[in-house]
Amino acid sequence: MARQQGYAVITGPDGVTELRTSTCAHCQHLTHMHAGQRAADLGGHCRICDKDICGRCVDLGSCTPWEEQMRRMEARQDALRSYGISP
Amino acid sequence: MSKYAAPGTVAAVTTGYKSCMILRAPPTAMRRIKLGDFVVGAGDVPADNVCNLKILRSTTVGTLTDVVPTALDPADAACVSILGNLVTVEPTTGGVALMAFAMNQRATYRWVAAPGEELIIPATANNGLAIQVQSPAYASVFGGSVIFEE
Repeated sequence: MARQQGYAVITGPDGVTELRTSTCAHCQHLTHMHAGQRAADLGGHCRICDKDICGRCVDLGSCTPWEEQMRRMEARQDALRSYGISP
Repeated sequence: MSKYAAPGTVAAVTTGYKSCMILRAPPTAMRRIKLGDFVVGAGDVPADNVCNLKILRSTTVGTLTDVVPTALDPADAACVSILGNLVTVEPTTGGVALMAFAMNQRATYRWVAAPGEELIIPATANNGLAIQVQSPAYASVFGGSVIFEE
C-alpha cells in the first residue's frame, strides 16, 4: 500500500507535521504513511480488485470492494422498502 | 455533485468516546455522501493533554442537535445530508474504526482526501460517519468542521 490517497496536517506546539494517508479499497480504513515505514506495515495490494487495502483486509483474504458493499446495502434497503418494511 | 460545509462540537470531552460530529444521510431521499475534508481541535485554554480520536460508521441517529450544512457555491441546491453535533445519546456505531489517532490538545488535525478517494457514506437511511473524541484529562469543548459532497 503505497499510493497517496489523502493528506493529513497536524498543526501543534512543535510545528507542522504533514503526512500522506492511504484509504483501504475494501473498508475505507485510513492509514497514515510515515516516512521510512515498511511497506508491509501499510497493508497490501488486492490482486482481485487491483486496489490498495489495509493490513486487516489483507489478513481477511477476501475481496469485497467498498463500492460493492454499498451497492448491497442500498439494494437491501430498496428491497425492504418495496415490501413496506422500513429498514 | 455539490460541496457543502458544516461545523460541529462536543460540549465536554469525557474519558469515554463521544461524537463531536456525525455526518449522516437523511431517512428519505438519501444520496451518497463523500467526506473529503475535516478539521478538528480543542476549543478551550491550551494545555498538554492527549485527545484520542476515531472515525466510525454509524447506523442510527442518536440524540443530538442537527446543523444544516451550507453550500460552498451559493447557486447549489440545499443540502439533504445532515450534520449532527452536541450529542447527548450516541448513535449505534459499528465495525472497525476508519481512522484512530492521538493528538495533543494544543494541536489541530486536518485530513484532506485526494479527489476520488473520499470516505463514502452509502445512500441508506440514517447511515453516517461519526468523528469521536475522548481524553483522560481534557474535559471541555472540542470540535471542527467537515466539507463533503453529495
